[in-house]
Amino acid sequence: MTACSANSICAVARVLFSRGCAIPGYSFKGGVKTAAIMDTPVPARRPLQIYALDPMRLDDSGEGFVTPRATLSVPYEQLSPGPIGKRIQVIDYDGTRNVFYQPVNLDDPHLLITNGLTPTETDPRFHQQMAYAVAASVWDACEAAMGRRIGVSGGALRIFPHAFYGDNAYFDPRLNALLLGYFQADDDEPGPNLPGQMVFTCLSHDIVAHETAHAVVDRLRPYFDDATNDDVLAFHEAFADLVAIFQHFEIDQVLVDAINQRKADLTSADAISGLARQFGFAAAQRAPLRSAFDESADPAALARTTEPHARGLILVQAVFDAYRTTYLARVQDLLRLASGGSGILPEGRPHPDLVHRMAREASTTARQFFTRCVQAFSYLPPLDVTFGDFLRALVTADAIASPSDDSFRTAVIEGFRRRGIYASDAGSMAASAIEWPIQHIKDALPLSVEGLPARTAEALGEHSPLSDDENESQAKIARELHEWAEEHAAELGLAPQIEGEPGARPIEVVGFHSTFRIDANGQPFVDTVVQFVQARHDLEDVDPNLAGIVPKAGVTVVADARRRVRYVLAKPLPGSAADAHNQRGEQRLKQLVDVAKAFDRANPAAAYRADGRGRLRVNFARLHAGFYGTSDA
Amino acid sequence: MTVHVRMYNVGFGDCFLVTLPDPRGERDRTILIDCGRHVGTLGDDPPFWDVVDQLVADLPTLDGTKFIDVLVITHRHRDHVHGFSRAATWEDVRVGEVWMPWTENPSDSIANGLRQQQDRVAALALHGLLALGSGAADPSVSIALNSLTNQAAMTTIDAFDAPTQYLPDPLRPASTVLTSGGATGLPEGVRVHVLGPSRDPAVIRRLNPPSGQAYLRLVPAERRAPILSLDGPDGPELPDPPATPILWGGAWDLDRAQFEALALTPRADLKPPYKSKDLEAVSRSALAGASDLAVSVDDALNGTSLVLLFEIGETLLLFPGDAQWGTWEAILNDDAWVALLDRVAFYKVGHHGSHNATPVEFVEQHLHAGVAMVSVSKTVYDTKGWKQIPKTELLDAMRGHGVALLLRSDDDPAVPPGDPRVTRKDNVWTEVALG
Repeated sequence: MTACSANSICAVARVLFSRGCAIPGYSFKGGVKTAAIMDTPVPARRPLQIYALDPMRLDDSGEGFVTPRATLSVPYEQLSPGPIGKRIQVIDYDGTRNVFYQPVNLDDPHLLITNGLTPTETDPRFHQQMAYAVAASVWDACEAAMGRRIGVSGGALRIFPHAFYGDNAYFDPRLNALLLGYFQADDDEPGPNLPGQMVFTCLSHDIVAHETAHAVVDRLRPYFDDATNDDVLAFHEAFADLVAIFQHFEIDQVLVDAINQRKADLTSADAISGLARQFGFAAAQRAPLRSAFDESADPAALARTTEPHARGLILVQAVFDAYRTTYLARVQDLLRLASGGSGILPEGRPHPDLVHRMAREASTTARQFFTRCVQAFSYLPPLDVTFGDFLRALVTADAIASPSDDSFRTAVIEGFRRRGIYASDAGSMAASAIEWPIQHIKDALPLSVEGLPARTAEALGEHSPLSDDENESQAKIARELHEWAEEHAAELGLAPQIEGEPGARPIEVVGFHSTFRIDANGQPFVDTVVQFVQARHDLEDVDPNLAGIVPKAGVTVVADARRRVRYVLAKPLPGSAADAHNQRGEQRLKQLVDVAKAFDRANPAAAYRADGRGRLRVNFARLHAGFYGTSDA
Repeated sequence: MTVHVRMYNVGFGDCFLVTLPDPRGERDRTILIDCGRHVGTLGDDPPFWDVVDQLVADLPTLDGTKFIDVLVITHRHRDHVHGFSRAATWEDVRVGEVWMPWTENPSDSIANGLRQQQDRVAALALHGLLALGSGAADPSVSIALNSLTNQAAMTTIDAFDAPTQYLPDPLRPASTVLTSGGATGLPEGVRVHVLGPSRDPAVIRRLNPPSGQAYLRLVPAERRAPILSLDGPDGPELPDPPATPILWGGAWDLDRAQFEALALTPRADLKPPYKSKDLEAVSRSALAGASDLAVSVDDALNGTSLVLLFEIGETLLLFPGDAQWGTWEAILNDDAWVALLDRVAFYKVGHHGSHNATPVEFVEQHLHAGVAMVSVSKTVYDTKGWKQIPKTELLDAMRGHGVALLLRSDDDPAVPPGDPRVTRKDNVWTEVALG
């Protein structure tokens, strides 16, 4: 199979762009030849210690209880105490107590030598370091998979590691910040925690990774926090969980331990498939917060589960199921080799060489899954996403990256099928039918050539802000794209402008990006992805239930390196000039009305507060605290 | 057969007195549905206890004593029961029988579990809010206060020593339709349909608020018990705020200037990566958790509301308490009940006109009632930020669907009602004659 290639191009780019000016030089002063200290290369990466999962020890695996630690490697940047960098800024302000905590200076020479502070619960500076390291590493992994920088222009992501007292943690899009809480564990049922022990959500790898992933989704698809169907928020949650889980496979000690415990099928180990263990135990739940491992796939569960976390978990389990199938198939040969052909390992611990090889398969496969999940974003509509859309996007991303080996695609389709998730509008279960169909539009996307260098530099990792000229050329591209969209409204599922009412159906160019990957032939592969969203003020009053919600149509257009359109992923509304779009538009509008009704009923606060009506906008704070919706899960 | 419904102006709360004639010419029967006021009601115009005194004075006399045939407590919220917290007011009143939702039944284990959880979480939300720096002025605090046990009021109701029915009773299928037979003192020909609260597990799940685990440790053990002192007639006097934990004993604390000196000094070009308003937003987020918890318990308790439909000959009256969607959904899924809804002549607007206590389907498809009453308070919707109570669009929609007469408890008494069926006593009560 073709290994994920996106990482390699980014690694090259990193070296190219991060190399300092290491030019040796001599100067003469007053006739004395003095040697200047030669500049050293700026490092590409910065190693930082973390708790591998959280401060809670692992189950006894026969070698005594251990609290796994790990060292993450994150992109190097100069950091002020905080740590405050250009892209991620940790601000240790406690909103409950109205105090700041001492910030860690990761550029302190002592800490540079020791890979940062040693994991501890008693020093807030380690907390800041861990939150920074996990967030930076997730962000970096997502960019590497995506093949472009994510959200350079959107401002730095801020992290408040001790934001408030409370058993909650969430991403706040308005503050562009992760707000991580702390609280005391339950007295009566603390699990492996001390009764009443302070639990810090910023010390949970999974919680920080999950919340960071929310921020990534928010940058890639800003309209995905608009809950226009049951799947949208669930998808937000599922993607965040998947990111956290697949990051577990990057931590050797966790992998080795899980294989020693469970032998071949490491996927059932809590440390691998469980999420936020300490948090779950501290809240008297006697288990991790959620688990991706679930053998008893129930295809009927989807229809009766609406609470976003529970519904999202179904998607997580579908992907994880596909992962397990793929991984187990890939280690069958190893197991046969190690067992004299039977495939059944003898009693006792597996040989360390075998453990090592299986761990490698596990992490390679995990990286492939993670990469595809991120790459799928290129092929998702800009709003109103469904699980079926995600399935189609995953399959499309994989077909492009790995045309000859379809093992990933079949495993994913099967994992989804077992949980009742089908591709939206696809004719059959075959991978080729589930791939998004190629749709041409006669006129190529109007991306002026002079605009691309800035975009390309951004994609390859230049962090410097765009110059005025570059900004102007970006604005020009946006204007041209806007005109193009108005001209091709019918093909895109957008509605034509109304004479004399310029504000009734405005089209927004939400984003345009090129991604850079290596294709199956080893050649550079460029996708240009443009998102358009059209607010339909003319439909606001079609149903009283909408009361203030503006229906929105949207379309993602994907073009190749020559700007020719390949995919048109439309979420239309009534009023499009094309019949097919119109029909689907009617369905969408009807569904939106139903969702608006359900939204009000499920949200107890709606009675008292006027917020959240302009959009069906998620409040992650309430969502993560478990206030929305009901579910049978 | 004229039925009278009198709405007392208790501010943000409910208090309805229904008078039923007897077809055989015997004495009229009196049903009192709730009597309470929300802490969130500011001002005192008219003074609450004056209104309650007026209500007691208005009660008919039987054998020389003030008498209520049926006292209905739709649910245990302060804004529906606070009037009973001053026992002295009710000393000389006799009650024929009491109806409450099944969730109040002390011998029902599911009900006990729910109540225990609701009481506990309400107390935790209150203490959480106080610990996190909130005070009496915070609407969330008043929401939490509304959901406390309201034990003083419940004790007075207990002291009436009247037979109590917890409705609907799963052991008595007949309890879903009450008639003059059996225990009830209703006039002959009157039927009372009990439409809620449902015992469907899906509905019950909604009555269980989140655990509020994080706040547990903030509350000293002796304070975890329901807070009786706050339920009294003159309450609430807020308890001292519990202390929040001081991380690492304060050893790592810095103030803002110190932090900025440390974090920003090394690089002259660096500005603080936040503005004051960002820090304020983070501080508010600390309170949001406890505040959401308070709203959640409030919602759960509303969900326990007893929903009664009185069938008096051809005149049907619907009193849904503050029932929420779970209960409504169960009602709208039952064809027999829907057929009754279609014939309703009088609707007591649920939950003071909030939009999630009156489903759109009900208004658009089944509400043909000519008369509706809604108990509201200007001091709440104008000053507390609860602009959605009542929800103007909902009231407009009801008017558009056949509610020709929509009476509000805060209607200006100086403006004549302009309808011969309506009587008023200053700003104390409004009454409508039906049938």
